[in-house]
Amino acid sequence: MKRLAVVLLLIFVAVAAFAGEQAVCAVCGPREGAGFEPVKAHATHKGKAYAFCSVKCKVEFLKNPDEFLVTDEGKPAPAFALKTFDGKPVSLDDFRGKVVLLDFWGTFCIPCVKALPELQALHTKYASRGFAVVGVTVDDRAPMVQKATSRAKVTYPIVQATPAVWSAYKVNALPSLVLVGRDGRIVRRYGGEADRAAMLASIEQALGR
Amino acid sequence: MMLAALVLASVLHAPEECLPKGKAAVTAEYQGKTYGFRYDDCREEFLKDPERMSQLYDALLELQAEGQVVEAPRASLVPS
Repeated sequence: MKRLAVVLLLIFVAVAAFAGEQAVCAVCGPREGAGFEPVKAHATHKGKAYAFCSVKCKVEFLKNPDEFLVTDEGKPAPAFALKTFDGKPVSLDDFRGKVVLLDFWGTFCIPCVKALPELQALHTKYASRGFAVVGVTVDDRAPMVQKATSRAKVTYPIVQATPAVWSAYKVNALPSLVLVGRDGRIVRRYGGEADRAAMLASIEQALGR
Repeated sequence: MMLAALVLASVLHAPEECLPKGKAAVTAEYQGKTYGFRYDDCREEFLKDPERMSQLYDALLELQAEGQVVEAPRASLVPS
């Protein structure tokens, strides 16, 4: 299965290259294939900040932000089986019956790093009610990730993203948060710098008052 | 209605086509900056949402300044 995914990915990249398409870049989402690159451009839309790995991605976003910010609320959250930097396996199944907030981030994304203490506070506050934050980082630089997470005193799991997971969750901007309900379905997505009050309300609602 | 939207979409120029080659035919101002366009419809689209469009044109100009070829996509690989 993994081999098939890699082959499909290579075919896609080859087709994209042949068609003269732009940079291969996971931050732009599945439309751009896969492969992780640092943030190189920023844009604001409706008061929220978004980060992109290329100016071309930013252009694509600004042409039609609403189409770019896809929604799949109510649909089953794509399953994943990833690993922490010390090799511990973490899957979505581990959180079955819990409300999970997936934080797609990278150390090169300043708003993402700034949000870490806040996410940790949420994780601590609601843990007893069946809530967990899972950080899914696009970063493969373990020391950078460890530095950022230890500075923010993060205790929730930080797993290393794969292009397949990044694409499955249609992450096309950073930061990107996905709230998954106890039933394993996507409750809400938050792109850019999320509206914290709205996010808290959704978490409370998902947990059941 | 759908037909009208299709006709309108086919008439409107892509942002890449709106960038002036040489002197701009029309201009618009936003937050103290002047943006030049090749066609009237480009200016009209810009003025409908200047906050978004100014960022879009700034990004296109940035690409142009880097020496990259800025042209409207011929076809999309994005599944609809």
